[in-house]
Amino acid sequence: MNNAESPHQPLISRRELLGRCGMGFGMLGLAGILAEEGLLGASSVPDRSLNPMAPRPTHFAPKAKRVIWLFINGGPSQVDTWDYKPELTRRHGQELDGFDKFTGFFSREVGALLKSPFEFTPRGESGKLVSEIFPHLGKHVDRMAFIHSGVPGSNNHAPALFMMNSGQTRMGFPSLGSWVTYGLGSESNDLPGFVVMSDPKDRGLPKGNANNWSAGFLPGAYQGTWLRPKGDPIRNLQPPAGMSEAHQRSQLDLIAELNSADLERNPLERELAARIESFELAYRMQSAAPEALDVDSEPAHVKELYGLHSERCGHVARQCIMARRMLERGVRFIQIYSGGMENQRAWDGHIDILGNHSQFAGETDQPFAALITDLEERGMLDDTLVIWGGEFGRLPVAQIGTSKPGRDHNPHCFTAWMAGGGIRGGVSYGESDELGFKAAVDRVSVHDFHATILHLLGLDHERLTYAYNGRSYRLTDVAGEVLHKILA
Amino acid sequence: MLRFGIAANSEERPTAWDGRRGLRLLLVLGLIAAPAPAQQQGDDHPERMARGLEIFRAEVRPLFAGSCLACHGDGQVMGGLDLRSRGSLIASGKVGDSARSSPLVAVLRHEREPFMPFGQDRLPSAKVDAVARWIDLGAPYDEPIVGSGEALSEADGDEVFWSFQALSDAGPPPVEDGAWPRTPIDRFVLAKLEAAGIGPSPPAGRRTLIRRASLDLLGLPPSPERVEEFVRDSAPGAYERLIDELLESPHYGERWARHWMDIARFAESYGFEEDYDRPFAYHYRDFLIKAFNRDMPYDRFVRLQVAGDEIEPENMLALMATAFMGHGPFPTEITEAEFEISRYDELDDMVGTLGTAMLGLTVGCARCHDHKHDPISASDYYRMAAVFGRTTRTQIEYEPEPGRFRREKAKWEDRRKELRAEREEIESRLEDDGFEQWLRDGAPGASGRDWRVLRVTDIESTSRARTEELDDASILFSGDNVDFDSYELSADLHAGGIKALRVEALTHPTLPFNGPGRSHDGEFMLGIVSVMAQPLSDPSSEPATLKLRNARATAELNADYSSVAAAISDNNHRSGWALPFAEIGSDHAAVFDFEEPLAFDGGVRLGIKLDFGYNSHFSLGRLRLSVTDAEEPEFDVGDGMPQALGEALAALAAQGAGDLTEAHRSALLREYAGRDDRWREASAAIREHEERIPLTPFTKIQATAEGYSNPRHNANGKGYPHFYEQTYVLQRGDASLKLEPAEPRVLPVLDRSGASTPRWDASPPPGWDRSGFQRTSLARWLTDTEYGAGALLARVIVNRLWHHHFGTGIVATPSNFGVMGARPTHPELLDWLARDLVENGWQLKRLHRMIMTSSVYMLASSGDESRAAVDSGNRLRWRWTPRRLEAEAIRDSMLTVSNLLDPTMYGPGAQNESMPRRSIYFFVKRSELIPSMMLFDWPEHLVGIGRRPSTTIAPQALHFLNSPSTRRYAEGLAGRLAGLDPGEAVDQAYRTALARPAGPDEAERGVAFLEHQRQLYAADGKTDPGRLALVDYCQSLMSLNEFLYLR
Repeated sequence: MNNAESPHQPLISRRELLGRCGMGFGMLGLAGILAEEGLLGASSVPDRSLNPMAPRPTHFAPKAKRVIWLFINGGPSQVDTWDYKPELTRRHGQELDGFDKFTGFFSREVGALLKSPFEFTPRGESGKLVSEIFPHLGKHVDRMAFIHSGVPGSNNHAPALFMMNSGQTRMGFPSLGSWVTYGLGSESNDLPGFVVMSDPKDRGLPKGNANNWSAGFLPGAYQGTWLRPKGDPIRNLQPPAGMSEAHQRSQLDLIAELNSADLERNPLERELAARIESFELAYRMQSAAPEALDVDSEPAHVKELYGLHSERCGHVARQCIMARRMLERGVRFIQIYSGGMENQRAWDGHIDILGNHSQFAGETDQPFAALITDLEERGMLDDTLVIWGGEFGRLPVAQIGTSKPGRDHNPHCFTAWMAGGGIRGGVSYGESDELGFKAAVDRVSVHDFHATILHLLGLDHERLTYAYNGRSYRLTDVAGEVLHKILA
Repeated sequence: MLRFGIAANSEERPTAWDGRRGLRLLLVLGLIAAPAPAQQQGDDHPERMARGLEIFRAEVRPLFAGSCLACHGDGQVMGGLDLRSRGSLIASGKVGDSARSSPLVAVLRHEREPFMPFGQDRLPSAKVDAVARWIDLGAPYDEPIVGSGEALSEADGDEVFWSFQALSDAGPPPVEDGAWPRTPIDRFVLAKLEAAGIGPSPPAGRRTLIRRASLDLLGLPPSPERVEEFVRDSAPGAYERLIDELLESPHYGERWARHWMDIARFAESYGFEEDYDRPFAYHYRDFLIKAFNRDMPYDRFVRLQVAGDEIEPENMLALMATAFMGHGPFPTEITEAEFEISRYDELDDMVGTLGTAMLGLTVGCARCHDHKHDPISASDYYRMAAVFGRTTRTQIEYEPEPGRFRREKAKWEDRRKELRAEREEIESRLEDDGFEQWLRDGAPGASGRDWRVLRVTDIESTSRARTEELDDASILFSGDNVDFDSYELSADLHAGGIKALRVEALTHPTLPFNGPGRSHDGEFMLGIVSVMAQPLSDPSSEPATLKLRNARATAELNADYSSVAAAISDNNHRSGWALPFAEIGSDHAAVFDFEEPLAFDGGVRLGIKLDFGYNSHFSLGRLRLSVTDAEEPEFDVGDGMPQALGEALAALAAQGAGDLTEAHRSALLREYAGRDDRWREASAAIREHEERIPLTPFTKIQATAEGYSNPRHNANGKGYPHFYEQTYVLQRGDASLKLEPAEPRVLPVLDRSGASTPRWDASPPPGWDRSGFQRTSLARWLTDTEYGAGALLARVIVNRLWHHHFGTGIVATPSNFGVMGARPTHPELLDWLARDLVENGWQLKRLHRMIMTSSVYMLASSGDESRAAVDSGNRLRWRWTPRRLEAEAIRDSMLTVSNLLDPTMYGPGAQNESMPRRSIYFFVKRSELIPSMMLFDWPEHLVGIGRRPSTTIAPQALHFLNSPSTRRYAEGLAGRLAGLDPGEAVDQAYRTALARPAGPDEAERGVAFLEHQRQLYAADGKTDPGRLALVDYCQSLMSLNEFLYLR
């Protein structure tokens, strides 16, 4: 709409505003405009209060620019996946002397040592022994760095999940993804910086729900955006029924004009300009987000690679393709939770470890492996960090009480791996004991794990801080050592 | 060097604040102690020194003196950083070994928090670069920088930190411009402005003032009529009358209660993984609203929240107030290994919240070590925690209108008696009318039914639900006190063997959606069913558990977690029998076979335990129990005969009609009478009467107290004790490293009594054994302005009010008055207001009035560059700083403007985003916080929040553009404008939404927009293009910055 003919016209049109500010669509946020307007001191560091997602400089050169964490929700069993334990097979059926029955969650269902029901075969050039449940992921072992000596935060889902996500077993602290977007901003103008996908099969959210991707005491802008598994993935992305783009465009023009005139009258209020820009950004998101999530537009061979049409893994394939498309478009941090809440709805194999892990590995093996292949083929694996891991490991002793043995929570050990940006492939760091019960050699705390991730992103975990309630907080609390041996 | 503490108790804490402080400072901000810049002693040392000094003199010294020293060396040393000399700077640990790693440079570059200079724009990078170069050259000083005169001297060493001092009695200072001040507040402010050489902005116009005052005090915009009335009111005192009127509005309490709810981390669920509801927490919110509206003196307000159950045990409002201590999150699912640390976490939440909310002290920082900045030792922390050692969250039953229910129920009982008597009358007549013959014939037609309906003799409900046995032997449960209920029902069986149990889930008009469940939607989840049996002949014997198998039901929600099988297959009350949603409002039944048929001689007492789960209200509202000795019994609903009839029939078969007991005869007579029409009518009348049973008005309130029952949650099954008799001082906060018992005590730093026996010690009245009155002692200390914490308490609340009125407090960190907090911009004013509050009975409304009628409050918000150049952060208050409204005020404004607001006050909240009540009535469920509120910085409700952030993110714009709720509000506003011509509609829309008429350009633009949109819609073939255009317009107006900002 153009009112240029109007005799008295103090209102500025949106186009004039944008023109004068020297920007069109797709540029950086407000800080850019204001810097050009001379409202901000000249500096390379954008002001967070005006655009919390503006890209920010790293502490040192990063190896990875973005992260995708394949969260193995419920607690994958290390001895049934990546940490082969011949001694466990040998001692199968024996009692574990001195075992504290309160180690896991069910003190009355403690059984004897239980060998893995799965075959392990050497894979890749490194010859890593891999469980038969990962035929596809096994192809990538030479790209993975395994951590076999991880020490979880708790023997209970929610505290362990909070630990893995925020470095604290209590709720209310910022998650890793929030810290990363706080530290680095986002490279996408029109997509959220931190995205979370949960189980699309009605099996629930991970325990603790959205607290797992909370921004805690960081500004709310840094919290994870949860894509709803059903219906519109992002709220309010569609205009109200009956309203076309033309209707909305003229609304936006009206809002921009009136807001611009208001800004003229209140030149000291920098937030007002940020809010003007936020409407344009919202308008762009309406088309950008559906485009980014449009899995169906992918070519057939890509769909095939991920197993999109497979009944077994199609749902995870869809999430992985969406994730890759978002990573391409500058989303900084993505988590995909495999499995729902607990027990047989997630990797929480209390009952029937064989059936449970066969099922969830089957749901994820092909899509996860395809994601690595796809990222590599696009040249993105070099600067994309891929993480595989859950909130704790599982015990080498059986959980009994049902006909099919399971494994209870293990607060002493977990296995995880990283691949891609800055990771040295084909290495295994640390060791669990001969039964895979406790982390034994080169123990890795969750803080070490986090420090390493931040390091790969060019962030010093001791310098990424936030002052709150009288204290300066960091993700790694007062600990954390970067695991240099797994870095390329 | 600045020291802390009070001389009187220095003996008790000899080591807390001694020379180790230097070391502590290295840890400020969690930094690893950073070494000083490397002392380069190489060949180029003199040259580097010279270059460094040059930079120091030309750049660094003026910068430090002008922008930094006020907080870092001139009279105060914030954050442990003292810039006066090289020695003090290095000792702060903030220099780093090079500019690259220097924390000082990082905060100046705004690469890390806290951004410096505090609350101001980033310095030009050329200046920061100079500091960086200077640090790389060794950070040399030529001589110390001396401040404006208040430089610290050695004599200040014993100075008490400002916030721990007694209230100053300084009066308002003299000012040059005697005409400007309207209140003493203005003289404090003006004196500083005059000293800085800037004058205040002009006063705001009346339209701005009424909108500002209304939104600020009520959180609601003024009506267009009230705006015009105020604008036209030329009588003196119009503004003062407006403020008085607003203060009397009940909406005032709804606005200011919500501010306090932030501080109190109020929420209505436990948080963590299960996030069970706390269905009675809302009483606390209602307490707050009432307390603010009634202008409850603030000292009493505080005392009730800490110890209301002891101070005013008969006052329900006081019990509601105590919920304050227990609003924190708590993990209900905890393992044995986590028991003790979970309790210490809970105590930490209590003490931490009390500290920040009431005293602005981050007491919680002393949990793992002595407080790094404030004079609070770890031992102080644990002794304060010990005050709450036996305090737990609990529920206390409460009857809102005592007496009324008893009267109504008695009346109802009387009528039921009459109806029963009428039926018995019919029965006795029938006794002479063929009954004996029918008996002699062997009661034809009476047998043949599988199920024997049990006569329940005893019921226990852990939630203490009220129960009523109805005419059909079903049990009706009522009372607004459900909370993870568990029923234990007993029934005595005298004859026969039994093979299966039936639980009927029955509907009733008193239940939500007719039941059968008690959840808000009529749902239930029968989580665990267990049955015990005990011979009547040996009541002291151990009851035997009867194993159940082959569970089946008339309907179930799914075959997995919500199946009837799950009620017996696992010991988990989160999974069990539930109904599909379409079956709510219908009767249903579940049947469980006994693994071994129960055969008995001489009678047996059955104990049937039903545990309900999934969430707090998911228990059965009406049920009936039956047993059978049949193989493969039918399990439809409703079939069955009364237990007594079954026994009577057995007796009849065994002994013949002549030998029946009176009980057997009456059971048989009732069965016989059932064939008679008049009897059936009389029974129908009883059933109808039973449908009108008066509902018990009992509810429960959530309290935090001692000596009441513990809350129910998952860990009870594992034996969680809820509290430990003795609280200990822990090493590094580790419950396994107990140092010594911690005896309850107030914080020594705020104890100026000088007495060995604290003057606040309270003991219970004679005969009182429920609690120990340690909390009462603490409450007395908190509010004692002379010897206790009262001065700080008053300062903190005065500052909170100021913060909400002006957007920034006199102390910019409203919940942190410690060393790491901000310093007051107007310390004398803060103390003067605090003293005024205390001396006038702690009345907050008086304080609001004084603040809002000051010239400072009435300033225009517009700013000019010249004043901004001197004080861009408006620390001196030369204008009224505009700010974005909070989530509640935005939503409530939209509801008001659209005429959709439902002003109902109090009572349970709702989680439905489209509920039309004020936003304070949202149910705060921690795992499902209202998304549209979160968009606008609603708190996470986990810890107390004194100052909400105000962020600007694109999803907010999406909310305005696309959300169904915004569209609904726009339709509401458009409806108010229906029938006006476009020009009038635009003007009236401005007056309604923005409290002002549209300007000429705006009016023209609005009319043009309406026409443009109308044409678009008409082209789309819409039948009401004019209305749609107006809706679009209203939606745009409600999206404007002017609508969202308070100015």
